[in-house]
Amino acid sequence: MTLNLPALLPSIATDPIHQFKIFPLLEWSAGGYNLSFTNSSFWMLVSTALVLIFLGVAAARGGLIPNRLQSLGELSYGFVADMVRSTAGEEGLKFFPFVFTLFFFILSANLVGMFPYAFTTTSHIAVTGALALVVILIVIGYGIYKNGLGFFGLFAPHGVPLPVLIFLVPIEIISFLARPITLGMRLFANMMAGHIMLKLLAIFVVMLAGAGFAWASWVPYVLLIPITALEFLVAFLQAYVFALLTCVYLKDAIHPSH
Amino acid sequence: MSGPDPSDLTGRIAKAQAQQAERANQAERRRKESAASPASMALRYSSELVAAVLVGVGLGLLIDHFAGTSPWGLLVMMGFGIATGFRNLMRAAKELTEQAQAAAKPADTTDEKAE
Repeated sequence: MTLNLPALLPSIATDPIHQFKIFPLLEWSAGGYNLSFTNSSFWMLVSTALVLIFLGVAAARGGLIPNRLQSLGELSYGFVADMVRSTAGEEGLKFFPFVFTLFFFILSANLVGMFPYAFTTTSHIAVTGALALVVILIVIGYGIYKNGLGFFGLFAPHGVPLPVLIFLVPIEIISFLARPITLGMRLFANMMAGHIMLKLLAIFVVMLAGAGFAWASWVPYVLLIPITALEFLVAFLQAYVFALLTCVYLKDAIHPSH
Repeated sequence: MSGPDPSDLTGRIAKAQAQQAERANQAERRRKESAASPASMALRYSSELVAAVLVGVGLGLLIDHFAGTSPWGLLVMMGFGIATGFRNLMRAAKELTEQAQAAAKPADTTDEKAE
């Protein structure tokens, strides 16, 4: 085991993909698998810690009349609870802790990624895909636990003649299996595309100046400002979309009838 | 006694609740509008199509591997995958259109009420 903390120190790269590079901070392998503690793991820990600190501080006071931080915590609770209730129904509130955790982990990871030199963990499909797999496994597990084999009625809508079913069932099964892929891919693609765009524009500022066009290099710089704002919006929106879709899929597990 | 008349409390609670519901409605509408930004729409459509084809191909290869029916499993399941992709694409387009229409409608009705 070697500790490689200096790797976390800021480095300047003109390659827009360099920011997504994963390197081990703590080399470790077990059973032939590389289980190193990487920069991605480090920033995941940071985003989790930030959520815990935020909610911990917001909930610690517990005053009848909330101050700003406490009311922010209460608003976030109400926001997610409303979302779960309106999409998955009252029964879906069982999954409120899961959806809340998911939403805040993704939101925090997205926002942490907006800081210079920070690593955006959600820009890797390994992370978002794993989250999506957890969602879909919970949907399948709970669906079968709750409805038994009736859960598979999801793939065979009622009142459809047999010849059509032969075509419809594979389509429904593929469509169901495609869900975790779309879920993970949308978050990862949005985050990666946004960060590449930011990096490209920022590099362009320096490159223009370096090539003797310093008088024009303010153009990408000014463009960078609204795009940074847009990225903050995307960070929030993608966390919301991920949590919302989770609720939609959970609804299928609770009521599999089409 | 300072402060507003406490006998009117029920009325004030109802008023505050109505205001909050209105605010929530507006926030919901704004969120739906912003969710349909061109970039996220493009990503949604492409991911719907690509994911279904990928799953179809994956299932086909699995069937071929275990049943030894190469290449028929791949061909048939890829066909189903492409069909699913297009169906999901059309479903997503319909959803987004309905959302856009629903987002446009409540704004109209509130305008009429105000008149």
